[in-house]
Amino acid sequence: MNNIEIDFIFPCTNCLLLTAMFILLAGALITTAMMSATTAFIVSTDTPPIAIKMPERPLTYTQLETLFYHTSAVTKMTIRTRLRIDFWFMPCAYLFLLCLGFYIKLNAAFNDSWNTPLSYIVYLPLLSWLFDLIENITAIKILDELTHTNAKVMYISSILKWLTVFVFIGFLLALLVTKTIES
Amino acid sequence: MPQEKPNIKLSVDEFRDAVAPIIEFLYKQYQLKPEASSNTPWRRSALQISDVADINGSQYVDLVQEGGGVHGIALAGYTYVLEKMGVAFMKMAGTSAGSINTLLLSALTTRSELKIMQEYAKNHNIDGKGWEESQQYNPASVIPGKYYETRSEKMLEYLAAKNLGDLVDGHITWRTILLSMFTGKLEMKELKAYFRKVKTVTTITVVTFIIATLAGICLAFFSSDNSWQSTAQWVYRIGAGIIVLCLCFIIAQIVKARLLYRHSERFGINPGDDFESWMMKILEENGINNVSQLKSKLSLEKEALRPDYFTDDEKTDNSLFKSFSPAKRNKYDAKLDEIEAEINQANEPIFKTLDATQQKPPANPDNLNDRLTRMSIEISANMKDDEKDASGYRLVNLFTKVNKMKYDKIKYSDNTVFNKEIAIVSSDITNAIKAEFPGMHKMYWGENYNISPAKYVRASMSIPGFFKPFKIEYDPSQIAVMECEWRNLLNINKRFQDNDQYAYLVDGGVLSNFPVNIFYNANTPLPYKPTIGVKLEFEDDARSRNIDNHVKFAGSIVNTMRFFYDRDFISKHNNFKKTVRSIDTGEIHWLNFDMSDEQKIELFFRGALTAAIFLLGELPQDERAGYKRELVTMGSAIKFRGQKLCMYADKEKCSFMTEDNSSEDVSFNWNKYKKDRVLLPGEQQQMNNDMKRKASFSQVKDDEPKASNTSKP
Repeated sequence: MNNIEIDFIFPCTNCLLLTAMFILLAGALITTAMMSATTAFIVSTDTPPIAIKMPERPLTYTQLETLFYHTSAVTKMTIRTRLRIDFWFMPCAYLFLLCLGFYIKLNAAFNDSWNTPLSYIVYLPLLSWLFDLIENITAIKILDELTHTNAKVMYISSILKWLTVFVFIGFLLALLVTKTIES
Repeated sequence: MPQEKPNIKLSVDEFRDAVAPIIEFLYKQYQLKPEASSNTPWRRSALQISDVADINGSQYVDLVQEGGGVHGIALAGYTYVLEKMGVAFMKMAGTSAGSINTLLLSALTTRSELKIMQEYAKNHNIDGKGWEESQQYNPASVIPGKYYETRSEKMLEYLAAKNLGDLVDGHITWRTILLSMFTGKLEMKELKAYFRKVKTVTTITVVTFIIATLAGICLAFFSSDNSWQSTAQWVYRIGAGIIVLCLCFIIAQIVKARLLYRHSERFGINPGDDFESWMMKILEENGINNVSQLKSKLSLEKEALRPDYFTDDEKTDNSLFKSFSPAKRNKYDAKLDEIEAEINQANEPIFKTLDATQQKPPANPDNLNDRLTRMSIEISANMKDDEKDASGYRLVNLFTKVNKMKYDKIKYSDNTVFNKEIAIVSSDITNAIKAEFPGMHKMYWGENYNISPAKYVRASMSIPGFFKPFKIEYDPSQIAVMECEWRNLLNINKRFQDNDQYAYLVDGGVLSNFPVNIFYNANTPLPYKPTIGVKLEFEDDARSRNIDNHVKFAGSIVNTMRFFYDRDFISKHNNFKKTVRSIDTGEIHWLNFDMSDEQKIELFFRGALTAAIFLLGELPQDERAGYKRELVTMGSAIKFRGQKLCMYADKEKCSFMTEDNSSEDVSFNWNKYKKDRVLLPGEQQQMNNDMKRKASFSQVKDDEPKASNTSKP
């Protein structure tokens, strides 16, 4: 039996990818603007109040605990709002990265040593999205009740999220640099 | 320019030093008598302002204070000067800032009063034994601390120690915005620039959207080799990019606005908890933990200080009345002689007569009062203005005697006269009424008196929008008492339903910012003491009031509703113009909670200056203008921390607005005031008749002289 290989490429793939990337980037920018607007309202109950930066990532559990008890109910509500906006940011940002990966894969001719890992790495943003989702859900839970388990899950998912994002971006950058040197 | 705040805390001495020249000036005019322990009423100063005095040498007046945010410091300046001149307050009422001063003046005490009360408590075994301490005020329980010659000084001590900015206790973002807004750090032009920016970005978004859409449509019509197609493509791409960036900005502003709204309290930006706890702390320090203790303190003050009806007969009868003694008797003198004879007979002590059974029953003071009132109406309606004075003073003399009879009658029966009272005005927006506390306490809390009086003031100062409304949660066990009280006080057959669980109260200023009518009793033709009113901000009738934008339009509607009733009362009771004074608060905003120390001193000085000008009324009319100028000039060099502050924008001009007391219609002199007061019912009747005629469009009656032919003297 002859294997018939159908090499079908949608004629407008690039256009579609570019359009999708534009829409997703626009969504990511808008949600980022919304999240940054909440920053001024996330402050501790200290006197004078201190702006809480990156509320979900204090270095130790004790620091997290201190932060938890120095956060008023209304600030917790604002953090929750920010995390909710983050749920909208995630599809925009990670799907944008996914589309970017596909676009690069389709448009730049690489040798197999790059191409094989790229075909796997291109899906890393989906993994990052998953970790970000876990991180956000546990952060929301922590706002209600601070437990060691939730804190651990949040830390681990946060680390894995950033790891996957950096691996993806690092790989793409390395790819582009190599391509530029080659050309 | 933002002012840098020094770390030094304001002190009572600094307030006192700032107004020292004013006090010195007044002492020169009205000498003080040396302090003496006395068991009978006396007047501490030569100033005569009332017919009620106590054993501490204080003369009593009723005091009504207007609301006006931080301008309340000026009220303290006003009361400080009055107290220094030996004036104390019998009944006090106030709204908002006025209510704060009202409660503090009633809860605090002076050094000498505390001494008298402690002595009284000791002599009457009021030492905490045999009573429920939670219900009774015990002067010995007061933290000794530092007490002063006046209550206002103690009040200043608390005001000086408090950072008023803390009262704006909303979210930090709101706090920053509000404090910057009213201190002038955030100027209106900056706000306008912000809104202009939002408007520009929105316009750019709309215009770019239209251009990008047109470019998109063009793309369909141009062939791919057309150079216009590539141009349209670029226009479309750039347009889309601009729209995204503009949307980012607009959406961020919407989120900020939404969060600002969410970070305010429900129905108001600031919770007002800091204020309530501050007031509660002050009251507790002064031995008042609940309403019962405040009530008990006020009644103890009455018992210990013994305010009494104290007419300075020598002064009133001889100097003033004789100067007005008429050359010839008028047609009313015979009737007045008759009433006077009856009064004198009624005043004859019965025990002097051997056979009491043959004594004619003494005339009833109420009956005499009615007859005198009828006479006063007749006199004021029929006599010419320049002839009224002599009869007016005679009426005062007779009314004084009747008052004394009435006073003696009450004094030896239920002794309800000269009770110390307070009234704190708030607006109940749930039941749509004006609430007055503690008078209406039972309507909201039933018989639970174990709450702090600070709550009354918290209710009165809830500026709508700025502070969240004060919420009174009804106690289900008190509902029956509350319903009964609604019926008793307001004749409202209130029936609380299951879902009627609370009432919202906001600033009393919404209904009556200056409750000057609160102590007015039309049935008392001659009052024992005057009601003094202090207003914040001078209403300049010569100022143009054009309504040329929507903000002014909305503001004017609100202001008309707020001020009309109080103003209407004063215009219908002309003699209140003599006792009500407005403090010119200058350029300081009433919501500037982040005032500098200099501004606090300035406000205090402005209050003191207004009080001093008010007290000039006792002095000869031709000298008043000169004295006023002298006092006003003091405002150009106020001593403060080794410097001389000038409170005027133009040092040469020294512009200070308050009621013009060079006119006899406005200046206050107690004896003249009494004369005008007894003639008031007749004038009021005449005014009412005029109003009725206007209301019915009726023409001037034929027998009345035409307006053009007559001119009132």
